[in-house]
Amino acid sequence: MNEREQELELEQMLADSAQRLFGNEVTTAQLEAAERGEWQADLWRTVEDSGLTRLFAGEDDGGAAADWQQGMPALLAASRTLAPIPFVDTAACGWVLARLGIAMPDGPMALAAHAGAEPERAVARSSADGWRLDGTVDVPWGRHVAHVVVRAVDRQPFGRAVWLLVPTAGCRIETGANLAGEPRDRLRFDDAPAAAAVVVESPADEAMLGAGAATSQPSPPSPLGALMRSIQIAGVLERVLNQTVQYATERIQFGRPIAKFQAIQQQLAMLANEVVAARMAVASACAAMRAPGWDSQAMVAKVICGNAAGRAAAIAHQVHGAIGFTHEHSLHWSTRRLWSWRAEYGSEAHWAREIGTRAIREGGAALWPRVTAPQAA
Amino acid sequence: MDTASQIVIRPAQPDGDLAPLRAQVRAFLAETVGDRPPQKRAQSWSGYDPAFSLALGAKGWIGMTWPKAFGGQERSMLERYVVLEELLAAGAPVGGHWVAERQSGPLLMRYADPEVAHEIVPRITRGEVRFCIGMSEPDSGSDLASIRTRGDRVDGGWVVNGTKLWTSNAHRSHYMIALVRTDRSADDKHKGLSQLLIDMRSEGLQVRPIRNLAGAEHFNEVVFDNVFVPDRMVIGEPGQGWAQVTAELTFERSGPERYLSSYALLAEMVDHADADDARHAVELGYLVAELSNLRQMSRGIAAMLHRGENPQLAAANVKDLGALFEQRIPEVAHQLFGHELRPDGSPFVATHCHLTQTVPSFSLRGGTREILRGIIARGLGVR
Repeated sequence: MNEREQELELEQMLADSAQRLFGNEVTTAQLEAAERGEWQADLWRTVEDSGLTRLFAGEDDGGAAADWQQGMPALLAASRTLAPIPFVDTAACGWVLARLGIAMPDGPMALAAHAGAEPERAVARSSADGWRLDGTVDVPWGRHVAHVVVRAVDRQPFGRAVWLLVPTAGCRIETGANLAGEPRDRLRFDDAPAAAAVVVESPADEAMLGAGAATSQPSPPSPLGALMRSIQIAGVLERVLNQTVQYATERIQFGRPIAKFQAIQQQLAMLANEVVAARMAVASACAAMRAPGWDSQAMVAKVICGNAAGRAAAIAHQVHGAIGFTHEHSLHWSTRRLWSWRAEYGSEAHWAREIGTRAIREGGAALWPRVTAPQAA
Repeated sequence: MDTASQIVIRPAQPDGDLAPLRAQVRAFLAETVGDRPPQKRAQSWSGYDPAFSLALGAKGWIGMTWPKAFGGQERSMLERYVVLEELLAAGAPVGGHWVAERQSGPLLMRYADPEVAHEIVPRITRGEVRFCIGMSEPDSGSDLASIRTRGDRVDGGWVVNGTKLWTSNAHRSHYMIALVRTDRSADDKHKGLSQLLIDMRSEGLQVRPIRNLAGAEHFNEVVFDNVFVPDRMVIGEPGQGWAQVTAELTFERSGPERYLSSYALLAEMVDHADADDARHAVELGYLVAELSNLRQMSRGIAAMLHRGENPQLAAANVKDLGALFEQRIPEVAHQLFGHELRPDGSPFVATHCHLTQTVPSFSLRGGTREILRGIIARGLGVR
């Protein structure tokens, strides 16, 4: 077996195991309970026990040491099931920790983003007994995660980037939720001890972690976050396509399945277009994760997936008719996630502006070489 | 039911050892068409320059995947893809050989009388011989299987009567590959069709140009009045025309010409936009992101074909998305820049004028958008 075949074998194995695991575990009752605010501890334990959360962790850290291309099908499979746990977020944190050389802890994790402006920003301080964190951060699933991964700035000397793994125990939590009822909380850390921390000084290392990119905003959305939500969108879009095609073949009007009408067929074809485009965008972005400059592809992915999310949700609802507008029908579990995720970690317009600004600055003659560069876009 | 798994495109590997080829092609293009103005670049694969086709053939870049016995180079599909996308992005005038390279050569090698194929295909690779495709007729557009141009059996061949319409480049072509009805007794309209290789100098064949809305003459009406076609010029088995045509149409579905046709205008917009204007940045950012993703999809399909897979359904998705993208570019130019459309204006404005008038054809040529979506729907299992 050559190297490529071994890679594909790992990819297939991870995807199969995610498909089996999540496919058997996630129920509507769990979705409803999670939306009421109940932590799905059993589901989390089952997933964590399977080892899948350690997709990107090194082999010496009990992980599968997959790269993003190999891990993507498993992340998509999990997303397709709407699993109401921070699986993708935790796996992505595992990737960051592996790059930092920090051992991955057990329990759910999420990336923390700076909340608000300057005085609130996350600041790291080195003390006799290790690093400590001060500041307010926004954390998906914040009330449930055991740790956050945060990029803070060093207090002394000021401005250095410090990546910290910080337990959430003892932090103050202001709860919030997105349209799909997923926790979107704000956490306040006061002199909180980090479990581990790494100072990242080289711009190349910063770039590899998706930070340090030039931007006009005080708290720019994370490209890694953009990739996570893009993958989740692409996964849910596959579910929406399958569900919508199925519905159109089963629903009878005028004496035949509505799928037999050209108007519906055209809608389904356009829905399929969006699914193909979104899947390709995340596949390209995952393939790009091997080298610096990957953030360009993550931006493209969020633009494509964000657009696809809105269009696909509209088509799916149109084809489903009134029943799809009810709470009883399951379509909304998907579409409310799509609408929420496309707005998180930078909307498509946000990233389009980044991409467009750079393209305009570089000029028309530079566009094609950039699009065809190995780390394209 | 897992419909979604049938339309997955696996990404192609990064360039790797293709990089030197790309550099060679770029150097060649800088030399040959580097000073071509954008309104000419925007003609894309309608641009016509026999000398350019000959020069490209001399480089070995036409039919480069074909067997050496047919004049090809036995290079990979991905190498060919690099050449094609570089040609189109540079707006090179490839119309003289595009159809022959994409469709006619592969068809002849696969189905034609070997002697005929060996005579003609090497000339395609040299950029010498031009082809047109005779499919549509006055009463048969989307309903292609309803064609009435007929071939009647005579001693040593067939006699063709009828009319083909919208035949691009017929006035410049040496050969037409025509779909004709050779058996009118068949009960199914898809049966009894055959593909004939017709010499455009044949007696009884008349080409009449049709001006398009922009005043240009690219497509034609071709009338056959007792045109004799010898047996050796029948492509494949008589009666198998429909299956052959369907296979042929998939060749033309997901190449780079399906998303790069308006590229010249996008590059002009990027040159003329204001980076500090949020509308400019956002709208162009959308287009650049889509361009990047379409290219990955199109390359992914090329790589899948290279591995012998058949991504027929996803290829139709890519064609649909590509045409939508190409057609949106002059609309965005209008929204962002609002030029009054003066064909004798600046190169930017002239390019905008040209594409505004050209893009409606992008979702008609090679099958309308509605037919294409019908094909996708069939692939999804709902037809």
